[in-house]
Amino acid sequence: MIAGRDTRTALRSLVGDEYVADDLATFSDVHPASAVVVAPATTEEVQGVMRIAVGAGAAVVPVGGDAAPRCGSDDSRPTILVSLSRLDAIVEHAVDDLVLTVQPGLRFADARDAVGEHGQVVPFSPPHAERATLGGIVACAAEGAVLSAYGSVRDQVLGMEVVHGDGRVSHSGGRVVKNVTGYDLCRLYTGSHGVLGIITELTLRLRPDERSACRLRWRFDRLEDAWEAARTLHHAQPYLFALHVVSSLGEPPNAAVVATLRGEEDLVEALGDACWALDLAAGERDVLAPDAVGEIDDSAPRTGTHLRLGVLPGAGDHLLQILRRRLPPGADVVLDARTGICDLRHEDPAWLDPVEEAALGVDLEPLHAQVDRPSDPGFHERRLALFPSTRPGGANIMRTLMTALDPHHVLNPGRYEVTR
Amino acid sequence: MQELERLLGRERCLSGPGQLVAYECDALTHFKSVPVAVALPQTTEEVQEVVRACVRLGVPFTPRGAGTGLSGGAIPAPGGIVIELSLMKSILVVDVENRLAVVQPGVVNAHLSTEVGEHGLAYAPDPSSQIVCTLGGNVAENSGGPHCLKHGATTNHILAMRCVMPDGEIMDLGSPVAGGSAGLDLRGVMLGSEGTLGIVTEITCRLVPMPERVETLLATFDTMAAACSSVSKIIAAGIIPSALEALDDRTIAAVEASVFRAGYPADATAVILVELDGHPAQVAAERRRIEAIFQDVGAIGIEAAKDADHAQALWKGRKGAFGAMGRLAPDLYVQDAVVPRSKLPEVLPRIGEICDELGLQLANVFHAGEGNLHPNISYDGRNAQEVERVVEAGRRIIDLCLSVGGALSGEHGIGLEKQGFMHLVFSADDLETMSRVRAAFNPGELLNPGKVLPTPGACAEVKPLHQLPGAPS
Ligand SMILES: Cc1cc2nc3c(=O)[nH]c(=O)nc-3n(C[C@H](O)[C@H](O)[C@H](O)COP(=O)(O)OP(=O)(O)OC[C@H]3O[C@@H](n4cnc5c(N)ncnc54)[C@H](O)[C@@H]3O)c2cc1C
Repeated sequence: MIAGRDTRTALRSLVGDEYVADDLATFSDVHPASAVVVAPATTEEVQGVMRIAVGAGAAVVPVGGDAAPRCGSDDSRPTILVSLSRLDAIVEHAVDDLVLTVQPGLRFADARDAVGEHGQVVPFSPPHAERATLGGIVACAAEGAVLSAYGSVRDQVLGMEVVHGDGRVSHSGGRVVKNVTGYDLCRLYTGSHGVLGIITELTLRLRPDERSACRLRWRFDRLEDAWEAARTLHHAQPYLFALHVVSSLGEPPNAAVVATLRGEEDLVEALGDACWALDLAAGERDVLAPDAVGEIDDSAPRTGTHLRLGVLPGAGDHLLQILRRRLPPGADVVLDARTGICDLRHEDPAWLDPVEEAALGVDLEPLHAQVDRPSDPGFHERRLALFPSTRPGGANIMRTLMTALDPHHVLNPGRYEVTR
Repeated sequence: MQELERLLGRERCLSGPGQLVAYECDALTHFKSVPVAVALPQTTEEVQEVVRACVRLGVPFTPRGAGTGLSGGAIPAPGGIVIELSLMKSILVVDVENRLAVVQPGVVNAHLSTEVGEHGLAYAPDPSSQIVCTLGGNVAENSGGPHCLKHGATTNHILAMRCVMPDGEIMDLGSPVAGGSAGLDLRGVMLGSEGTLGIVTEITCRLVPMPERVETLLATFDTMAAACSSVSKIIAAGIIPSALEALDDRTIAAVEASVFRAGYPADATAVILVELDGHPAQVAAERRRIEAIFQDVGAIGIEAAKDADHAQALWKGRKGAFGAMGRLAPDLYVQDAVVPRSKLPEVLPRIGEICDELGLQLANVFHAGEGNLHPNISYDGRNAQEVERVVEAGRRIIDLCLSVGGALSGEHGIGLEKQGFMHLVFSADDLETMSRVRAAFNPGELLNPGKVLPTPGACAEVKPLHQLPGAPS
């Protein structure tokens, strides 16, 4: 449903006529949506939008780079899409402290380029890396290939400013790398999919860029052999930057193990030699550029279906067997052998139907799973079938937290199965 | 008391005045409050029973590990009981393949690393109190340690936990699988919540492989500013050692005169203790770069540990520093604050000036690589005037750290000690948000009341509150 005339008028007087539109494409290069779109430029304007939404009984859906599906929207309510495209500044880059403070709408790619000039990296490798925004990555806790080397998205967030559902703004954390002052709400907001508030400022830990990098690839005819080789490498070489099994689950089966090496030049050289010396019973093997096999770094497809599953790393072989047995063929698989996170991509948006999702869920008890179909704007991320049952008490606390920070239930209604 | 004895038996309920007095404070001895009883449960279910009894009877309850906390977190509320978890000390699972362990909260930090050492694994966070403090206490405080610079603090190593919530419900938070569990990260909020959101009864933690190579360097400086500037430069150069610690001359003198003698150079004004770990090639390259920085800022000596025993001796001095300083005067005030690493050369001398002006004995030993300062002031608590000056110094040091963009606490927590300072960092709305979050977990506030958030009046009976930095007057 589209927000009413009064809501529009109120929004226009808040942010100016040119920053209220009916079409998301006005503020972003992604698909249009049928709702009113507003692009605030300050934290105060975001607070104002929230108050207007409360007054109008509208839902508020924050949108960053629109890299993650806007799942679970409740179409029965008028919706205000809050584009964060104008909140895209670097607030402070404390170069010598390796700390970056930004507004949420800053694109990952822009931040990466800016800190890259100082030999530093933003320690994320999000799906849709070119268009994802830092606020969106944090709100979705969008993990990627650097997880095992740098830690999770949550581990990188040092401080936050958030506008809650009642328009109040609050801060947690700070701008230093170690801090136990008060409750760690940054972790709570990270991965909360915007149900507790809209992030309006973020402070992140940066990492030094590694001086040297490359990828090594071993090819295998059988997926099982690739898995075995990956585990051998994992145990023999703890200093790899990342380690992945890459395959398309087709016939004939093909699989490769890709080890990412990063660090001081001497390290990369020594590790490369040590890896080559291992007998992994592989077919061909080659040395690649650090950004080769791009699907490792950006796991999401532009079109089709994306399914992410997570298991304990030691259960990776079990996961691969089930995928081969249960899934219709043709999906590309990238399994992080050190974290157990597995991304599956398929060109066909209808590749995976709910029955299969559920079957997967039963066998694996995957603790993390999400499906997204970028080519299908009408499709909403389906979490229900795959998510483990949260203990009822946990769900109660989550519900209470959501009500405490969004008393009028305006923020991303329906986003979580934990319905209010 | 009768209820507790019925639940746990007589041996695991303490009520004699001589027994209870041991629980009147933690390692921050300014605050004191004697509990009405102490319960020593052995299982999650027993914790649950004790909590349910407290809820039924409206009695406040405070969890306690080893009582080494430095912000008063384990001190019971007036009229309340202590639930001590030190008997829950089993290591339940060691999963070598997935590099994780499941332990009870009373397991002593260092004990876990010793036990998993045979598999070539270790538990990384290493608070200086690690031979005594418990993992439950570490989780509650989100404790740090010298090696957390590279490997991360407690929160980075805890995957999941089982908790008894304030209403007695048993809940599992987090997940051992990377990428996390469904929904909001309740595990993340529980970490560092100082025992105010739930009682942790089982912990699933990450284990890390033992490094292939470790090198320990000691650089000596004739000014603290030069020592700090080497730290800032190492960080700015993008090198992340596993540890980067600083000690000043007073600390060195105290250590060298104690059983923790490490052989630090007697003529040094400051030393920097660096440890590098990892692949030998990486360690060697980083060592070259760090030595060049030390030379550049004018180190008067650089010494590398000759072997593991030598390295251990150097660490013994660092880890025993608080204990050694305890001998200098009847009381020791351990401050804990953080500044951006680039501000160390500017801030350290100013802390010295503050203490000089107030005529106080300052000794610094700190996690320099993280900008986490521990200015320690030796004093005599029986001298009221001196206590007042210590309070004033604490306040000025905090103001100074906050003025350069720092934080109120890096690892010791807020507890009872720093509630009065929270408004310097957080607005009323910030604190309101935190108190709503607490209420979602702990609505009746029977669990460890009066900690973390400023709640004037809540601890009015705890004495001598008025003596403390930031105490509501
Ligand atoms: C000499 C010395 C050196 C120290 N060095 C360091 C250091 O390097 N780094 C550092 O971070 N700290 C350090 N500390 C502080 C202290 O050791 C840590 O905070 C430690 O984690 C406390 O553990 P504990 O078992 O003693 O907990 P306690 O002091 O018993 O309790 C601490 C807090 O945790 C809560 N708690 C305890 N167990 C549980 C549980 N199972 N569930 C829920 N809440 C619980 C208590 O209620 C209390 O609020 C040092 C202290 C001393 C005395």
